[in-house]
Amino acid sequence: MNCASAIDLMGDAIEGCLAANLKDDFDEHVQACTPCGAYFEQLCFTRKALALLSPRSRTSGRRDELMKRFKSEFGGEDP
Amino acid sequence: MLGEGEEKLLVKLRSGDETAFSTLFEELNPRLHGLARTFASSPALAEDIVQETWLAVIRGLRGFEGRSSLRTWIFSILVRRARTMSARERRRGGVVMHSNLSEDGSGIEWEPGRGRVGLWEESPTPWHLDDPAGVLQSRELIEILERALESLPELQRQVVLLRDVEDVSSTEVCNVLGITETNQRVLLHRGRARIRKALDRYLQDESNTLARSPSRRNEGQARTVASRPVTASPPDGSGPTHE
Repeated sequence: MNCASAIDLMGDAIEGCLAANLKDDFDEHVQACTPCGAYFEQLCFTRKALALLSPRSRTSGRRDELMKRFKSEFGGEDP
Repeated sequence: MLGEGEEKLLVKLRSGDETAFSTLFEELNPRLHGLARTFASSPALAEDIVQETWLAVIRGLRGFEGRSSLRTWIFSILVRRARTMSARERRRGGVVMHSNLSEDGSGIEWEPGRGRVGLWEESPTPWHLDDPAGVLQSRELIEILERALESLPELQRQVVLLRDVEDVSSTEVCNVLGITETNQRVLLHRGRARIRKALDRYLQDESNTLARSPSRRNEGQARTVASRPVTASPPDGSGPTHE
């Protein structure tokens, strides 16, 4: 497997959904090729880090308006 | 498409259970804001988009057919509202959109089959993190990630946010954003690559002691002394170095 093919497969590989018939060749390439190996490892880390980004908790001043709308829609009250 | 938990939640919502709605609101509102910000030119517009989305959710709950998860359905509503409202805002004038140029400004973006072109100029070198879990928890790293995500072109940012932050499946992301599977894969790789690059700059920074392992710190000291490339040095940093 060459670098271009390995790079094309990295998205699937970091999600663990690489086709079985490609996995051995891919693994062999990233182990043998230092730039691809480092890039792959760093993409995995990047994805792991992104998964840890939690949305900032925020309050909405318009929450009350929504609750009223919800009550009105499902509880029969006037908005 | 709905799991058992979502089926129950839907029943509660349709029966007017305010606690269920409140819980859904608390869980999803920050995420909706995050997605809305990728479309909106201002926090105020993002706030409006989210509010309009919730109102549409309330109106549409009875008609929701469960063809996707509840969360994906709500994301889809937001995307439609956001596109309409952002376009209206742009027509009012003066809104500068994110650049679609590559990170180095060359305009070269990665394409499948082109190898490293658009991904890196200098070959990536390992980060040698001794404590990756600790690095992942660093506030500084989180800020770098957030800034990198914020700087992505709009559609890349939306794909990365939905796939990697929100863990929405690729099929659902394609449906939510109205893009093809191929396009989604390319955008995702480009987005991840740019964020990797931002992390690389941070983690390769000699002055950044937090992210550097003791062996790399020794490398740095040896480099300073020997002024030549070093790949390893003994723990005390006094032994021979290797070209």
